[in-house]
Amino acid sequence: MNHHEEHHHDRQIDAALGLLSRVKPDAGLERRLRARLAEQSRRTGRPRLLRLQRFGLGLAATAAAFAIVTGSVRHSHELTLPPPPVRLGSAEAGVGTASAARIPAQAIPAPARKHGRWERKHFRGRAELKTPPRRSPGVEPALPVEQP
Amino acid sequence: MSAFEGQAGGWLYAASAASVDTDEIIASLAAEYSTALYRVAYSVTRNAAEAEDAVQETFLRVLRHQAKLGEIRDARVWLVRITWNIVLDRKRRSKSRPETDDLTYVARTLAADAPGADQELVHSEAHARILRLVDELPRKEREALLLTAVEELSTAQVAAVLRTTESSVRSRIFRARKQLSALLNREGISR
Repeated sequence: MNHHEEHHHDRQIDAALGLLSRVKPDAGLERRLRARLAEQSRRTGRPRLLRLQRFGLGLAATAAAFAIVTGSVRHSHELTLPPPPVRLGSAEAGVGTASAARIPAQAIPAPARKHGRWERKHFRGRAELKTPPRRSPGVEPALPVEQP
Repeated sequence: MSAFEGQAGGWLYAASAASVDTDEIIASLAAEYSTALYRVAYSVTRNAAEAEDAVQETFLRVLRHQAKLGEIRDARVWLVRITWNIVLDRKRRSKSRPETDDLTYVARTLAADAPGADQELVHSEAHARILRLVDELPRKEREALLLTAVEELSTAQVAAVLRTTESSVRSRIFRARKQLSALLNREGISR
């Protein structure tokens, strides 16, 4: 390839590349571009506003939860304690917790009979229980006969 | 209005105001660079509709990444790089040259406007064939040659787009023209 051919090819290449540098877009490219950008901006603008609203709501909910917890803690600190319960045996008296006398809340009435329902008696070294004789309802116990 | 509502209103106002400013910036970028970006896209796609779509996609990406606008030093290089990546990615996906090549149509349109239209029209097909030979060049040489064809870009800006040095761009262009000349010689394309 001689110098003349090289020069000729360079001119051809420049002319072909010049074609690319002179290409023009169809009329109204900028207007179409603006319209598409505006449409896209509208689409993305709404979610952005929604995200801000959601963020605000979340912030308000967090603030409300914090206020509830703080108020609850403060309220619990302000409560008056009830009077202490009845003191049982103290450690110095030698009475432990397990063996301490249990004082019922109400007085227990004494049984009508002097003994319990069952009577424990010892017989030949063995304990046996004797229950009072059963009588049919309405049968009175025999009365002692009076001596004239 | 409670204090919270007032604060929230302030935030919303600031967000909307920022949005308006960004929209204006993007619109001004579109007005200034859309033609150059169209040429960059067209040099790869050789199709008017695809080139315009690439330009629109470029500004949609700018809109999506508008937070980076403040960090951009050279808007032209930044935008060209976005367009360049878009068209190369689309071309890679299509794996082949577009079937609807508008180059001959463009060549005829441009030739009809120029003085000596008849003579130019005869050679428009030859120009289209040369540009098809450009596609056969190695990737680095082809990219450097196509980007330098866009008059709006200096060698330094082409180097910035391709993430290389100016000297590397010059040597790539030199090699590209040499290889293209050899291809022309082989094809026997002449005026």
